[in-house]
Amino acid sequence: MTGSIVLNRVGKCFRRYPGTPVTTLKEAVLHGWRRGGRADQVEALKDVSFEIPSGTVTGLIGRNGSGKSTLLRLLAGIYRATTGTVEIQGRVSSLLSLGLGFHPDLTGRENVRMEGLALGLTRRAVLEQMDEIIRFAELEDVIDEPVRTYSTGMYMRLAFSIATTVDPDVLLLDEVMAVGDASFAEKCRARMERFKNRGKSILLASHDLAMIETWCQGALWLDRGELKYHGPAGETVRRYSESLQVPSPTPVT
Amino acid sequence: MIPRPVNTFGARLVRPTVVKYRWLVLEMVSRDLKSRYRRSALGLCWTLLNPILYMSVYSLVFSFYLRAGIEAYVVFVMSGLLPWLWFSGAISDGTASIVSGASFLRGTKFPAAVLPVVPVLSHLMNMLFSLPILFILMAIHHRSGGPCLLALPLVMLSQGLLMAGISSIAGTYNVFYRDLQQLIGHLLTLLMFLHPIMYPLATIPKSMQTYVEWSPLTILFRSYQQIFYEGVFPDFRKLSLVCLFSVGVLLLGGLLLRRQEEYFADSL
Repeated sequence: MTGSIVLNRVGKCFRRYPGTPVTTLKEAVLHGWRRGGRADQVEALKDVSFEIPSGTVTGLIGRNGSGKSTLLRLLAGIYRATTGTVEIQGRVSSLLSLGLGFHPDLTGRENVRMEGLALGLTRRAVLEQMDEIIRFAELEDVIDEPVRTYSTGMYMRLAFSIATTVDPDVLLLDEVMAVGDASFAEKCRARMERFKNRGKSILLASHDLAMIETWCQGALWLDRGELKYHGPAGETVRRYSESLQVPSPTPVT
Repeated sequence: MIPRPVNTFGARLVRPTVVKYRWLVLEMVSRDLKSRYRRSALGLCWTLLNPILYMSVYSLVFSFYLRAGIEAYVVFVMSGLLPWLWFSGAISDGTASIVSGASFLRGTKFPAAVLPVVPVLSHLMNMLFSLPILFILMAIHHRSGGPCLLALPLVMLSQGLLMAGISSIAGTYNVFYRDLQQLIGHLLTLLMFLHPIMYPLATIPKSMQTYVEWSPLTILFRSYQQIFYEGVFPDFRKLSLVCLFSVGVLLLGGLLLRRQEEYFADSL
């Protein structure tokens, strides 16, 4: 079914090199050519399995370094799983850590074009959606300036606008709703609501537990790379809060 | 039993990433060309000025100081120089291409295989833009080229495939060993002087000639000299061997990049 996500025993290892993270030729000569031979592994995700049906908004919570971003990057296709399989039906669009994905010296318009083409759209499709992307991001005046001159909020608005306008089946968001002023946040919410109603799924990582409770039906709790709990958002947030020993927040309406 | 990720290399062989993302490649090539001479007063004129300045230097050294005594040396040197500038420019940019594409690779799902191909195409455009200089020099020295110019696309295609392969290999290794980026300029200088590009093959000591003669680069650059300078068809038997070699290098490069691709986002 379009928009569904199925993970089967997914693990992701990073190679960690003792000492400096950068491998140089000198090091390689001194320690032998076999790369990875002496590198030890860091397991960022361990044996994670879950299913998310389409048409749902799912929260992703956990402490810093618990693997939330790694999981989202795996789903976005930036990383490849070391073990296990990731099955996603339909087109994935992601809005991950801020600032990444844009080329600072290119103008906003050029970045939109690059991003769209990298998503596999044709040049014509990108042109057709260009105006809509710029309009939603409210960047008509600065779209032909290099993005390095943009403020964080402008950056974020453009990224959100691209990620949601290209009509993905799965939308991945990493701690992004905190940026942008109130009126833009409201526009984002409206757009996400429409998304959900059209049977698309959204996966949302956040530390804002109140938002997770109001926005999501289900939630995933990651702890040190392992899936600790997957259930209704309220229950997941309650268990997670208990583990943090802070009182469960009251949902805002 | 933990399931293993599926290998899709076979599918990529049938429909390479570069073909699938051709619009992205075109966009990046045009951006590359635009940004290369941005903020320079003469702008696109540098495409013509660069080879003319190189030609002047080599003419001074080989024709005037060393008295190589080659007839119409400017035509000789230019016919090897233009493809060499394509080669060296694209390979040095290609080596850095994946590392400089870090902002794309880390932020979105981005087809890494297109990155090393972009400089090959953008430097090709440069070469095509500067070809008129060569034709003017040929006209001045009463060399018309003639029907053997028809062989030019084949020579260029084979060089392009070879470069795409080398660029993918060098670009991939550079992610893990950044030393390559420092080293590549020197390797290219060495390659240039080892091959008969600025001087004819006959000036090399006899004992070395057989080795140099069969270098793929020699065959390629000899072909350009035959087409532009001598006005004869290149040796198609040797050229087809180079073609095979180029395809082999390209496959190797594609395979290597494909196997290492999953570590790019971790290592950048």
